[in-house]
Amino acid sequence: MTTFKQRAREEARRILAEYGDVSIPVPVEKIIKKRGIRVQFSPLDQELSGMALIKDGVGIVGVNALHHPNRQRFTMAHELGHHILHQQKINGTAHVDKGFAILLRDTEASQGTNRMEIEANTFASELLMPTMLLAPLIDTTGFDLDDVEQLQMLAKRFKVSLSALQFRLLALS
Amino acid sequence: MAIYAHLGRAMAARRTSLGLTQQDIADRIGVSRASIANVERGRQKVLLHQVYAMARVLALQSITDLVPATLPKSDTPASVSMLNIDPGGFSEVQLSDLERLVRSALGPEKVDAPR
Repeated sequence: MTTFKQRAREEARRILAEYGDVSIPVPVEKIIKKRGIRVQFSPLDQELSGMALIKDGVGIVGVNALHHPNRQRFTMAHELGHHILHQQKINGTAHVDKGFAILLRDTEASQGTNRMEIEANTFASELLMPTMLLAPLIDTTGFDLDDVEQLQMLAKRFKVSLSALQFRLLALS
Repeated sequence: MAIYAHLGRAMAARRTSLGLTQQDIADRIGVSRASIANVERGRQKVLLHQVYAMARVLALQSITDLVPATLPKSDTPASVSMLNIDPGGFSEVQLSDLERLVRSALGPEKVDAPR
């Protein structure tokens, strides 16, 4: 049932492996640029997070420069997800993302656009918080998943939002 | 494009109300009468400094008496064609911001490349 999510995670791991040695915080902008995709930061309407487009063979990741840096990192990872997973859909046609939050829900995962977004989110989640780097940190004795302060410190190390981390931990358990 | 027709109509209306001929305007700006005639019909694309000159010889306070403050809707499909998306879910500001982002990403040298 969750095979498409597994595929998204595997793709994220493949991208990380291709980049080489990765430590936290994961250098998402460098990872994208190393793949020959251009990253463009630009002020956009609050509602818009970013966009992915392949224009005349040139890959573009657009990021709303007005959002919080952690949000921008998630946006970059999400848009890279579209480039890796949905190359045909974004070739010649811009894919614009408006907030991600509601799309994290599994219930709407069945098909179409929502499925694309969930795949990109799953990809982003694994890219920014790779299992191999996250698991050792929370498996240690004394780490309390319900301790918000501890979670906030962990989120800070990965340069992700607290909610992104909490969502990631749910998927991990 | 609608913007040039708009400018031409505004110029002609103002010129007529001042009792001036196309030749009068042409002489004061330093272009041919035929150019003024073409501009008034919306057939000739004028340069920005010429719009200011026209506002001046037509005794207008501002060029916005000749041109609208924002580009008419019918003149903005370029933003849609660049992104190639259904503009339905987006405001004009959002579309023009996205358009600007893509143009920046592609670099200035490619923006107006002829097809």
